[in-house]
Amino acid sequence: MADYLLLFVATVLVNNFVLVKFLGLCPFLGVSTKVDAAVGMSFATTFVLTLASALSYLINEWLLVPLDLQFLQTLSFILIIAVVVQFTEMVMHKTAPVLHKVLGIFLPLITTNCAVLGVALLNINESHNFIESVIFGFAAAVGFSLVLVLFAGMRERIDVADVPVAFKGASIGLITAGLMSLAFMGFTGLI
Amino acid sequence: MFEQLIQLLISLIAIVAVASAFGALLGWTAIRFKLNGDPIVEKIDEILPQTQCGQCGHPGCRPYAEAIAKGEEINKCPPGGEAGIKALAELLGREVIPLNAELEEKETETVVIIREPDCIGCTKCIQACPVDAIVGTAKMMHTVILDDCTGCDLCIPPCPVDCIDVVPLETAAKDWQVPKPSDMIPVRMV
Amino acid sequence: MNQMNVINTTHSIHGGLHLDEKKAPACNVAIQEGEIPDVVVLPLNMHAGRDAVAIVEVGENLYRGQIIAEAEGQISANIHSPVNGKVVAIEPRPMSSRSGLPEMAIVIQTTDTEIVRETPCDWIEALTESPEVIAQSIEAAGIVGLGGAGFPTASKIAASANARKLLINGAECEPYICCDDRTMRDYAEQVIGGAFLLAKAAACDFIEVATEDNKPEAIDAIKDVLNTLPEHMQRRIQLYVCPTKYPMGGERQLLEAITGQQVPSNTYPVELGYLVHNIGTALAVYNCMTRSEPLLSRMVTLTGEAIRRPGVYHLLLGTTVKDAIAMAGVDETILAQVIHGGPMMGYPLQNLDAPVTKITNCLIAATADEIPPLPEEQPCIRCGQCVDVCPATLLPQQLYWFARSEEFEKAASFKIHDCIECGLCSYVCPSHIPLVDYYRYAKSEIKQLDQARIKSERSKVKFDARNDRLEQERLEKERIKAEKAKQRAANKAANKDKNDAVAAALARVKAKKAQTQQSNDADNTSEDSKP
Repeated sequence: MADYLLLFVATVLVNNFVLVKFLGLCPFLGVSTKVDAAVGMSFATTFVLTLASALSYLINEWLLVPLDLQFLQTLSFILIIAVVVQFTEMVMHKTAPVLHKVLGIFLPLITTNCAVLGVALLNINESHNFIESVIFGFAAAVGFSLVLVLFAGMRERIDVADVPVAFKGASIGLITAGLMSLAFMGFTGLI
Repeated sequence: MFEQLIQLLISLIAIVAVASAFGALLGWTAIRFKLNGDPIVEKIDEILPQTQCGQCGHPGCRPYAEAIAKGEEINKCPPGGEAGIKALAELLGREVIPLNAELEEKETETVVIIREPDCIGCTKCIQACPVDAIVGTAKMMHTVILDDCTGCDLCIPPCPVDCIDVVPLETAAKDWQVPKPSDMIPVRMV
Repeated sequence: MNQMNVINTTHSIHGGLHLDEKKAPACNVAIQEGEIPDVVVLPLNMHAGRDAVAIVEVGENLYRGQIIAEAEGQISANIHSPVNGKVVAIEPRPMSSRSGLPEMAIVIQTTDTEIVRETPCDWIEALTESPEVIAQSIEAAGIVGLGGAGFPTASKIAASANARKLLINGAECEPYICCDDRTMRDYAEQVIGGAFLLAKAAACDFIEVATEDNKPEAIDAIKDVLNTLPEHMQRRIQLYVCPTKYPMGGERQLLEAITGQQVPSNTYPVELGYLVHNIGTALAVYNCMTRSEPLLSRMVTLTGEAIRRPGVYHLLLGTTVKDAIAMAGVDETILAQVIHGGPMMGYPLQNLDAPVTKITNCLIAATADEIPPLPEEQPCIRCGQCVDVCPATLLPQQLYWFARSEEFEKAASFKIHDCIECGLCSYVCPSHIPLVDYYRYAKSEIKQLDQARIKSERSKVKFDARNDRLEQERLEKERIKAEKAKQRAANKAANKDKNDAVAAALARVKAKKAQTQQSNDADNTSEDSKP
């Protein structure tokens, strides 16, 4: 039990996927202009990540390893992720159409989010069991959501502030992200 | 060599099996979560000013909302003005573009008034008004309910005696719009 | 008759600031009666709520106290003529509002230069009237809150049925203004009488009179009156003294100082069980009940360095600002601007022909040095001083960013409507940002957007209704057409026999015709063959 808690905290804060591992930067910068969109994106990514992490572990454990087909890991994981994302998009289009419109292209782009594939592959590398895989996926998503929402909140305020013309938009956003990354480095040695 | 072939076959079958299973799942989801109508149209319609003037080229605001949902340009609504374009851009995640060059935005809001001595009671303007803001019947005086008039001017062409005047809506002193303090803070490029 | 104690309040208010009072020399002179002007301009709207409706015509002769405009709707007030005179015009005239836009006004030419006021009866006698009679008299007299907002007093009483305590607000906190101070000093008994009358009208059990500690003479005057009251009345009234701090005179801040509780956002003092009225309003109620006099005049502080005889003047409503400052001896050579209200919440007047209305409490005839122009606005340095001084515990800095970037929904969610526009945030801002102007702008934009949204919803409803109506008409037409077609078909079937007979007859006629034709032809040919 303590191990699982440790794994959770480590993945959310110490080895944060966005600010420490620098994975998943595309949606991080693309959806963080409005807090509402960021919150919606976090829910979608959490759902996708947790499900994809669990499914990829199962496919690996029950199909690829017994048949000695480990070389097909990348291919099958991408397949799983693409299916989960497509499923999520269809459900969201029906149940939350405004969010679907607002997220736009970034929803299907979760497929190419390296954090999702990263979680699936890292599960194999770190030899996680099923529960650890699920926790790892969920924690990665929580870490992503935390940083995404924080960044969105900051960007909303920066948008209306007196930023010099040369820095307006993505430039000041990236500088802020860099400063956040520096801040998160302070978590090293937490556990 | 034979072994490699077997392995190739097995991997092929495995992938195809997994892919078909997932494909079936997606197919079922597509049917289960089938969309009827586009709920985004409601949201777009809420932003449009409901003047029903037809300047966008559509017979009313709802048809234009449906067209926007299908991809039409958002800059065709003069009564909505810049504020409307900005709100639509924010809702749909599109770029803010200036109002279509062929369309003119009115300087002030207007309403219409019928010059009662000249009205002949032909009901042509009543039929033209998209929000039923004109009251009257055949051979009886027509009059405009000013609170309902949206300023679309659709009643002016049909009138055979040209007795409808466009008047600017004056703001009462109570509804005086406070001007925005100047925020032209000079910023130097360093 | 016991010695009444004064309670010093112990609760402090959030934010606030000690300002330079500048009440002297105006507060050191007793109240003077203003002169009767030649012309009186009475706008139809001198109060919160709907405009009154004029009931007199041009050319009509009026007597002092005659009602000239009637209240319209739930929240409105009557207007009376303060002079004996003649109506010369009912037309738009420049106003002493922030915008200065002309509004409809009744212009009266004064015919008598003397005014005789009735001697008041004893207010204890007036207190024997029933609450309904007092409330109706207040409504008929057109009394509105004289603290500056001008909310019709009768409507406020009606809306505060659950309030058990009456708070008389004598905490005049804004610099320069000293009307309430002098009123308490010179007319203390009348104020207390008015307070008891208001309490009876509003069914309040207890009266609290509150003032600031920078008005010691007023405190003594009130105490002296309270000490002369019979004991059963002394038990129902209490004098509170608050520390001097701007904006202690705001009703929410005063309640916080007295009770320690804040009036919740978006609600009114009635939530805490209080009905709040101004000193001037209490005096007006006294005059109404003891002299049968409607609201015809009010105390106005005339001050500023360009005024030779600063002080509080008892002015008739409708006196033009030009006439008013002339009464106090204005030096036009050094006059730079006239400010309506105080230096924190007031605004400069564009046109000095504008009248003194029910909501005018002060006119500052300022020289150029006295109130210098604001320096240029500079970027916000996020120092947070505005947050420290805000008495409504808002976030002025955030409201500034939202108002500037026109994110009005965010501003509304940050409670911009709780802003009392006291002006402290603008006062302390080191970058000289006119913060309150931004909030006024945001509030007016929000109001306009709400109105536009209501209008567009209504248009949508009417458009849909029209489409439904046209659809109904079309269906009706189709139905009638279908019925008619059915009818025709039925008729045709019913007349089938008749038709058959007709057809048969026609056939017979045709056959006969053909026969006759044949025989004719035969005759003709036989005729031709004859030699």
